Amino acid sequence: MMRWVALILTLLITVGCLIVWGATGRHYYTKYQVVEQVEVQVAADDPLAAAGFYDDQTPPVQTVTRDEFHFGLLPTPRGLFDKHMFSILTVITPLWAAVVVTFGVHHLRRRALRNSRASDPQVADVSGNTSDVQ
Amino acid sequence: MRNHTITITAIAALLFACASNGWAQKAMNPCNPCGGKAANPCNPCGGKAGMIEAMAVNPCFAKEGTVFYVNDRMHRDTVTIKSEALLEDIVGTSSSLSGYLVFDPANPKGGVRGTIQVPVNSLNTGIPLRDQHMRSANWLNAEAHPVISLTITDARRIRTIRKSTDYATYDMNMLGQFSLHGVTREVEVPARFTYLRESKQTQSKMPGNLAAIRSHFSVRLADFNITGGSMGGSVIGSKLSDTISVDVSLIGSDKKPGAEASNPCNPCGGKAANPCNPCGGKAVNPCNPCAGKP
Repeated sequence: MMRWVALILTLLITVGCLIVWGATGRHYYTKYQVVEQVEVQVAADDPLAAAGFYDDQTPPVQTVTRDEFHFGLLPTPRGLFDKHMFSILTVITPLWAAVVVTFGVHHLRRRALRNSRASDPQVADVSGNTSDVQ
Repeated sequence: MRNHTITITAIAALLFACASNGWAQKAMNPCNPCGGKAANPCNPCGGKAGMIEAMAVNPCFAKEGTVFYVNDRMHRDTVTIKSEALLEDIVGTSSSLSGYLVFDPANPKGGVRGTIQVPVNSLNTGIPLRDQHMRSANWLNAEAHPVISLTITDARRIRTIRKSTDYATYDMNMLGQFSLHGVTREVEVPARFTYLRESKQTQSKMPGNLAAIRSHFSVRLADFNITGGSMGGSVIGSKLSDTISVDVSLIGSDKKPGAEASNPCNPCGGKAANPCNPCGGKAVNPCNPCAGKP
């Protein structure tokens, strides 16, 4: 039962991660700062605008550095304890690995139990679904 | 089964712990004035931004016109690098430009001379690991070649765009040497240049007569022996374009830098509304040198 709960939780977290990824711009890498060129409104009294400094640049652009979170597909950590460790890959990979291991262990246990039932007459007798004891 | 649930919870907790620990690292940034290292809130990176004080004006250039010092303490001068590759677009910027321009308003056809420098370590792409890689020996090798520079030695095709008694704007092709990664190459870059005579409007930007330059040009990485080392082959083309576009926008003033900085409560010059909070908006900042003064 618990493994199904783990699977559903992992699925929900995966979907949640993808939603956050989509909502924060679908970037390859997790970012906490964005450097980009944005269009700027030149002030009417800007002496450079009056002198024609921006005439060939329509509209004028400016490079800005903004603090903005983007949840990425991949991490870019500089150490284990780095906020850039946080990404879809690093969040869901351990969860899915744990789910796979859980289901794998369960499958092996079931197989081992089946084998033991087949080879151990007493176990078979208790379960009551094998041939007669000699 | 309980063990597996505990494992999952532990992994999730570890990831969140890593993330939250990373957030707490902000104060370790040497350029963060709250990190306790920067005495001057208008120059939080210390000496990096104040390179002009150490850069001597070429005497051959100086006699050809007025010297305009490029060293905006408010970091409004910018150089922007842009790479558009298959998998990723990268925009990086630095506002730690320094240098000087020489221009004679009485003889605009004489063109512009000067030198502009950018510390490699000041380039920021928004991802610290990428910045670290960019500065490493495989790429820009900031340790061996800490500065990118453009020395303008001549100008040609000077065309007047707009002119009055208070200003003049020209388009020109600047000739000079571009140095990157220890390689210096002759370049010819197009630029728009504006000279502004000091007025009330110009004082809102900076004191003194002003000279502004805006330029856009491209740099081929291979021309400057930037190959990315053994990893470069897989990175250039997919994550990094082989040609980087460069945008430069700067304003110089003929007023020598440092003249207004003598007042410890006005380290950013004469434009601040509140002289005891010259960098704006952070009056509660414990690093504000004038905190507590009326």
